Amino acid sequence: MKAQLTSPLTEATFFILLSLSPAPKHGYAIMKEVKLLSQGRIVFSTGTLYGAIRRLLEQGWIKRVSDPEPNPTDRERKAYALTDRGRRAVNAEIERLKSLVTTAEGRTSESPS
Amino acid sequence: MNHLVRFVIYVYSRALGLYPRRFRDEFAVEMRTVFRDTIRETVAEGPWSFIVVCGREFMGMPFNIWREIWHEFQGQEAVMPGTPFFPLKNGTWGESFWAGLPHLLFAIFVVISGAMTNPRLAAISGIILAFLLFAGLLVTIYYTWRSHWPAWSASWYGYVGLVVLLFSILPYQYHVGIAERIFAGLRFVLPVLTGAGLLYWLSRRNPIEGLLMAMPVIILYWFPVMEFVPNSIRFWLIFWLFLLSALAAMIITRLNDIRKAVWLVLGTSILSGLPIAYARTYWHNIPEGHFSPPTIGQMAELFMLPWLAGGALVLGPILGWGLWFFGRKHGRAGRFSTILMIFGMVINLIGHFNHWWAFGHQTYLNALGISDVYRPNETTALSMVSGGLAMVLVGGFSLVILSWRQNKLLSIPLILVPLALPLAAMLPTYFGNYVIPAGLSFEFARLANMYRALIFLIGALWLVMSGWTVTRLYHPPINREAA
Repeated sequence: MKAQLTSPLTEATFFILLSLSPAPKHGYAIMKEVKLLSQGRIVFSTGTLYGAIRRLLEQGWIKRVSDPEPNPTDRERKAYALTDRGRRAVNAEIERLKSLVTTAEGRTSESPS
Repeated sequence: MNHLVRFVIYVYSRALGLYPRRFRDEFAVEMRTVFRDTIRETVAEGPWSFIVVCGREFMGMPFNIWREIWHEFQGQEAVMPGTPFFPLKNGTWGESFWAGLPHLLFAIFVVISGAMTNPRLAAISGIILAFLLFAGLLVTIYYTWRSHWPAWSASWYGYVGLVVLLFSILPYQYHVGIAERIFAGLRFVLPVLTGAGLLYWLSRRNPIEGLLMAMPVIILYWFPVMEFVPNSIRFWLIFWLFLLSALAAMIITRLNDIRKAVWLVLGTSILSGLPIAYARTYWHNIPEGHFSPPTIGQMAELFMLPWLAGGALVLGPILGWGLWFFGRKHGRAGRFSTILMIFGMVINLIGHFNHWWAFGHQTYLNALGISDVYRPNETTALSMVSGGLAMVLVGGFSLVILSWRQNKLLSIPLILVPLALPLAAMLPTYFGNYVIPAGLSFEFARLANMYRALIFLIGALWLVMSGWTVTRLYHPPINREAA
């Protein structure tokens, strides 16, 4: 499990987890948030998003919760929230990325201009 | 535009039905809602945006569907809920040794008998060894009875059955009176029926036990292939055959997982059969001292029939019970479909044997003196083969219709698996207008090479698909610890 948490996440997985980090969201909100966070680079199709959601549910990184913004006309909407494991995975990935950036910045500042 | 939007959403909703059942049940409603929201938003952004989003959604769909099907295929999701599983733990090394021991004993028996150069000494030692073997089998049966019939003991039953069968066949041809003949016939038929009954009962109780008991059948099927192989080579081939079976029985008992055991048995049969087929093709004593390298066709002919027939007989009970459990979950209609299918297979098989009994073994029947009381004919054989096939077809199709919504992946082999072998056997009926008994080489000699190759190909596919179906019909071992 440790290997799973410390291994690099795919960009798409990382952004899905990151989008759920502040609060639970339903599928459509996740799609929009990921597009926003990735500055338009990652745009999911519905099938791709739910394939990823299924794997994250199986891994226990996210869970189903009641919709935080219920819509009286849309009873079938379900929301997803980060689990503790999912949160640890995001944090581990953020730490890994930070460490990469620090190393890269250190190396580029040392190089002769 | 509104009509177009509604139409696109409708098409998307219908296309969601192509996802695997479990995925669909879990996410289809949500996906439809998200798709609808996305489309409505893009419509407001303009037609170009609408086209881009539709393109993205529909172009990616085949890949997404395939990915989810593959995910189910690899994972445990493809296994139907409610299929039986057997609360077993992995076998210990001791149990594995006991499971492999009867095969090892036969291997030792072969080595000792083969090592005797003096024919008189070989005959005496052979009788002593056979007696010891038989006594050993009885002692083991007593011991396993006292130990409440552990799973490994099934490995011994097959050999007990073979020994009993051997003793019941040997005095067959010396009976002349009608009463004696009937008694001899009963003595032959009863052990076969008892053995078959025990095999099916064990396979239902625990498929691993059924597999262990049926393993000697695979060994038995390779013996006729060695007919013209010189003794010095045959001795090593037989030793290899038993040794490999011993190893397979030990691993099967140790792993105690039917999903792996099925492939182990089929793989063992391949490893045993290929050198035998090679030896038979290369070393001839008819004509004397004639050696020729085997062609692939010659080897395939000698290898495929025993492999298919042995594999089919070993897999048969496990597959049959798997189908029965599967059908039972679909109510009365499911049960009826399964019964129809299984009975169809049995009738089809009897039809094939009916023909074989009538033609291939006429000489044998004459020797027994019972040909005057048994008069099968071609019409009876053909009717049984065709009737059985029709029953399999009807039962198979109705079971597929019942199970289609629950598991498409499993439904396809469910119709193909029982059909393939009767169809393979029926091919010559279409081409040459006579029945081919499954797994018997005499009749195949009449066929053109192309038909033989076709039968072998279908047969091999059938065996592999049957093995796969067995792995899908039984629960994965992950659930066993929880039981």
